[in-house]
Amino acid sequence: MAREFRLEVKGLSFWYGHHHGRGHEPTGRSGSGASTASADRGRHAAHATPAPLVLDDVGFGIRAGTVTTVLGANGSGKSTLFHLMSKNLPVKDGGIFFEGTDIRKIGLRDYARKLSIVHQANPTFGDVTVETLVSYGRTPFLSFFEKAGDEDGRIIERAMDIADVADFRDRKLSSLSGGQRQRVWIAMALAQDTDTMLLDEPTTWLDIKYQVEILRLIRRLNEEYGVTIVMVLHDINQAMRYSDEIIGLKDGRVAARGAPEDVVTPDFIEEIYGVRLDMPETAGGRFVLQL
Amino acid sequence: MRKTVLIFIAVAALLILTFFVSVGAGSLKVTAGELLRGLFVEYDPDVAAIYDLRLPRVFISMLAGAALAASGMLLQAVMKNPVADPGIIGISGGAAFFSVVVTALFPALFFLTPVIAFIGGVFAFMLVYSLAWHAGLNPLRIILVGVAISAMFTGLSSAFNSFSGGNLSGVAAIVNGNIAMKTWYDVRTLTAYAAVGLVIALLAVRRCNLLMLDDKTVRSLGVDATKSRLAVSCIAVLLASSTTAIIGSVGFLGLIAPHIARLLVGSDHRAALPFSMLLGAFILLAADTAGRTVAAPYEIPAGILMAVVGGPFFIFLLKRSKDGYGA
Repeated sequence: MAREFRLEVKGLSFWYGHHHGRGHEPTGRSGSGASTASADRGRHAAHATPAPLVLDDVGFGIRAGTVTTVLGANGSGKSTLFHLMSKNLPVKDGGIFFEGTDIRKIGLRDYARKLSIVHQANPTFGDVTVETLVSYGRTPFLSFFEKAGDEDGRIIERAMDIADVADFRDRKLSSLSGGQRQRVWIAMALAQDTDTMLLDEPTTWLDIKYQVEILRLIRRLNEEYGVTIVMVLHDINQAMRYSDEIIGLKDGRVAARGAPEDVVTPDFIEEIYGVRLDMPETAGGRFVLQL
Repeated sequence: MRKTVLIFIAVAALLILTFFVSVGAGSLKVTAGELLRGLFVEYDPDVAAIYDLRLPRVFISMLAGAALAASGMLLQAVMKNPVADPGIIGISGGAAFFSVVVTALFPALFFLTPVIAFIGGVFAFMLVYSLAWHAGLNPLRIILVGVAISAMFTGLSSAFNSFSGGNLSGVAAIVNGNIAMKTWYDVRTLTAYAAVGLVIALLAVRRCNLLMLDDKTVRSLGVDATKSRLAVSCIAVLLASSTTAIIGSVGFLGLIAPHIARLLVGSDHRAALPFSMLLGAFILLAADTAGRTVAAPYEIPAGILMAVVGGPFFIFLLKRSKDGYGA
């Protein structure tokens, strides 16, 4: 069977807390037909305490070689979805499949060899240099005692070149600007030399110049190096401009997904963010007026 | 890199110098030349006495200093907390109390003291960790809880010392952090536990570097952050506890040595950890030597000297580090 998707999410539901089952409706949802609870789940319902579902039966597939962006308001479940895809939270109900394999069956280390992750708000620490930090990207390929070899060195160089951080390789991370730092974290992920990269709000907290710089870098990773990108973004216009596919999350469910020009409409924005915004046509396409 | 090598050589030279000063200082005085001749060439009664009485103490100071400094640095990496120290967060207190109980109640089990101290250290560490856990680990909370746990165990140890009428010199020595009256047997015991811990610690330096990252980022590199932090904590507790079993609680060394190390050679554990060990060995040996010479023929225990110097240093560090890590 040909693998249709690089990453596929099927019937994914998630709730916080330790008890089993999803016996109760999430609070604050006007749900029609929300109850997909099977008989199996129903059995647990009797002794389960109410747990709001953070994700409710989420499903989508990500094709190799595309840039996919997850959009959603605060509390829509996009962070939880990201942490599930990055194996930071355990999958409880439903499944996430990487190249057809359930990620629960893939060890952390094997996963890190196939998929790299750039997390949001990485704190700076100590006086580690850029080059040292980028070299950490080789960790999943080295045994506990093994030192990085020549081949690792070449991959680290390449990662620094692509992310354009080689010029300040000997500088300490703490001495860099926010945009430079973010490029260093991306370089570290690039040193993992994977075909798939997940990024959690890579532009948040950056000045607009650096936001554009980071998004262009991500697009270049996709177009020139064929990296499949899945990211969470805050800015609707940026998502439209730099993605092949948009997934809109609302209250833990996929509200809409597809190509940006098809998906992002005033109605979509109103549904996702709860605010009506104009989308005037310009010479460069349609844009959301965020005022 | 060159600077780092020079600093290593300088501190190593200082350590060797202190070694000869320490061996030569006291009621029996010998020069370095006489010492080497007496040890390796021909019998000299003065050197023989020094060999039995002073040399074990010197080696224990160095080994214990290295172990405490390494323990502090590992704890700081694991907790991402620049002011973590086995003494301050209660590990030494727990280890000391367990040692005291064994020494007082089951003297026949003396050979197991380091193991029992380790259990005490782990117990105190788990207590501090679980009590300080409140939606994550707040560095300040760990210190606050640690100080309380440490005070409790220190009080218990002192109480035990009082019950026994202060007659058990072994108990009093652990309570005060006294390196006097040590034998080659103690050297061998400490070597068996602390030296093993030091070697394992040196093997884990790259893992320590990784642990300075956020847990989620560590995981993204294919490493289970929680397991790694736990494993490195165990090494730190082993180092601190086995040392405490032999010389009692010596506070602040695990704070001072790593901090100076980071200032001088940077926070990369590949350089900072071995340097910290070297510096710890030097500082404790210097403290012990000073303690038994400044007020001779009386002795100030190294633990007390470290507390006098370390207290102000700790306050200085607290004021300096807002929430950033290290230097």
